[in-house]
Amino acid sequence: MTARDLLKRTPFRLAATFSLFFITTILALFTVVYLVASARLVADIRDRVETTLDSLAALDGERTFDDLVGLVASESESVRDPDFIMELVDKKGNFLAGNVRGVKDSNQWMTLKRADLFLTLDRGEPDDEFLAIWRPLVKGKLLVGSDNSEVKQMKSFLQKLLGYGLVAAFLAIALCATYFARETQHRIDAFARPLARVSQGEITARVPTSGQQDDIDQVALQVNGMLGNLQRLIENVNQSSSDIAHDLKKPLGRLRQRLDDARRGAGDKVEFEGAIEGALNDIDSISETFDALLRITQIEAGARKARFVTVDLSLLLADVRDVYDVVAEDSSDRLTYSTTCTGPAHVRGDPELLVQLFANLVENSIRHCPGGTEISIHLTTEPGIYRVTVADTGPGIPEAERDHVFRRLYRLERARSTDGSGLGLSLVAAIVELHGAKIDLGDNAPGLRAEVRFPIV
Amino acid sequence: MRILLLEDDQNTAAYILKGLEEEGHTVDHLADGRDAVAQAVAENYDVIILDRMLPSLDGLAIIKTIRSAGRGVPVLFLTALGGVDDRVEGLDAGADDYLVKPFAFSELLARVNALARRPHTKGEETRLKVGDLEIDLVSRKVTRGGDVIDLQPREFRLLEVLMRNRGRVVTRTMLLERVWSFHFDPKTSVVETHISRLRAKIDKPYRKELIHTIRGSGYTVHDGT
Repeated sequence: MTARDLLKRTPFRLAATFSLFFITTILALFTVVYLVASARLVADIRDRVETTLDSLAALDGERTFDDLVGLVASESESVRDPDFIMELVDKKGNFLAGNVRGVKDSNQWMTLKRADLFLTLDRGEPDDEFLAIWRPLVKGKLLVGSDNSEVKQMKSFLQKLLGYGLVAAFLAIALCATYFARETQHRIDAFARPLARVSQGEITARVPTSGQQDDIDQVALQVNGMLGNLQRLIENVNQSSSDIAHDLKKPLGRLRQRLDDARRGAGDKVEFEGAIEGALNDIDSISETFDALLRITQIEAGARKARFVTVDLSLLLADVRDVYDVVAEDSSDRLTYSTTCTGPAHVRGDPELLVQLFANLVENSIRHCPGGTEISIHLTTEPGIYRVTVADTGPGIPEAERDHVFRRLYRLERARSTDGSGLGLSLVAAIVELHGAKIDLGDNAPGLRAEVRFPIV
Repeated sequence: MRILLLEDDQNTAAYILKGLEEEGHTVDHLADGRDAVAQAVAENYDVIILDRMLPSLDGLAIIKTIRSAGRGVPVLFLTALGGVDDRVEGLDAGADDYLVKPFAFSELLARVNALARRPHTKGEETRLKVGDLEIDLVSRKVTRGGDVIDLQPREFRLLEVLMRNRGRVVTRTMLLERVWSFHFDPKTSVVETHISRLRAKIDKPYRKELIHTIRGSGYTVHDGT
């Protein structure tokens, strides 16, 4: 990995930026501490110098000036290690007493290097410094200065502290940042790898989750959900395509055989017409399968939502009952409709499709159940939903197959002999989905119970 | 009848043309949309059969132009697009009926016949009569030979559709659409069952059958004379 690659990685850039920010902050902090502390120290030293000047200047005057000279002389000599420098001169600038000579005249605070001074007692380091100031007296001038080394010591102490501190902080931050960057980079890589596999066609690959329930996990869950949907869609498409191919081969084969028969039996008019009739029926059933597939696709596309109106479910179901109770009666079944709703049961929907939804469920019960079956449509309401149950007392659907029956062209083994496209329940599922409703198949013990729950708007 | 057929597919056109001419109709066939509009407005046709997809001009645009020229001639829409949206679009544009390809010729013929007799300018008939069977669309009373027959609302609607098209074939699909508003093919014998109930009330007790089954096509009401 080159430095350029490293710079492209978000975690690394974040870590680097963070470190830089942190170190700048530390530097700024040290600078402030240094400035404040050294100002304070300088002020202390000046105070000390002023105090000394004040006490010496108290001897200033015609009569006591000689005492002052004596005091300065003895003070300068007693200071063995010269923390203080002193120089007393007369009006003309001639040296009278002190441990330094010839300090230049100024009425400001001066910083004097030991090396530049002519000291009577010469000890200490040449680059030691003194803070000094002249004070004018009646008969001359007095200079007092104090060693400045405390400021220098503090400065070097702070510099060392800053140096070690910075190195330590930098190491700590770099370690921390690298750790988090690597950790994040690992998770990002773990994220990217399965996605790369998916784009290479391995649709079953999934993004791992850390179980920390954090933001990356949230995204991972979303992505996995999306991949799951995608996989189901692709499987659906694959399944449908092969189902359609299978489903069409059968009637097409039959059709071919019939036409072949017709050609051979062309002499016999009745047989010929029978074969043609059969062929037309075969074509109609193929056409019907395609219509149903197209219809499902159209419903799934959702464009019909634009034409939703308010539909009274209780009226609609009573209507379905009116259409089918006689049909059921003809198959020696019984169809009833009941409701616990007192008023209208309004949902938003496409009445044509809703009729087809319940017509399909009722027709399934009529067609796949033996005579004498009780079929009931029941409408109830619960907070937030209307529940329509279509139940029969027929053979039901084995639990393991209940999920499959919504698949396109899926048919139960025992239903293979009856005619039907295997699309009825797929259409039901598509209509249910379009209306934001839910459908569940359950056991009516005995029989099948289909339960559709509509949200109340 | 004079019929104008607008269909660009040669095979379909030949199939329809042949069938309609065998039935004794005069058919003009055009394949181009622009010629069709001029012809439809200039001539007096009884029915126009129009393909939804035509070169140079869309079927919807043709219907709109014909209607805006003040022509109330019944239009039957042929479409390979079976979706509800397509049907509604066609009907909204001014078509009177539609038929989804592929279709059986008997279905086309039944719809053309039904359209041709539809009173599109005169006031609605309120009493329909076939033989000794009479229905009053206003009072919703049905009598046969003077006996009042009690029908369920759906049975009445079924009889009404058959009676409005008396003497002509009404197909199973037409009945599903017009009586039950079913735009799908039920897997059970909805139409047959209701027809047999209706027969039990208006035909069985009497000498002469008025409702006839046309095998492979549909049903018709006539008194046989």
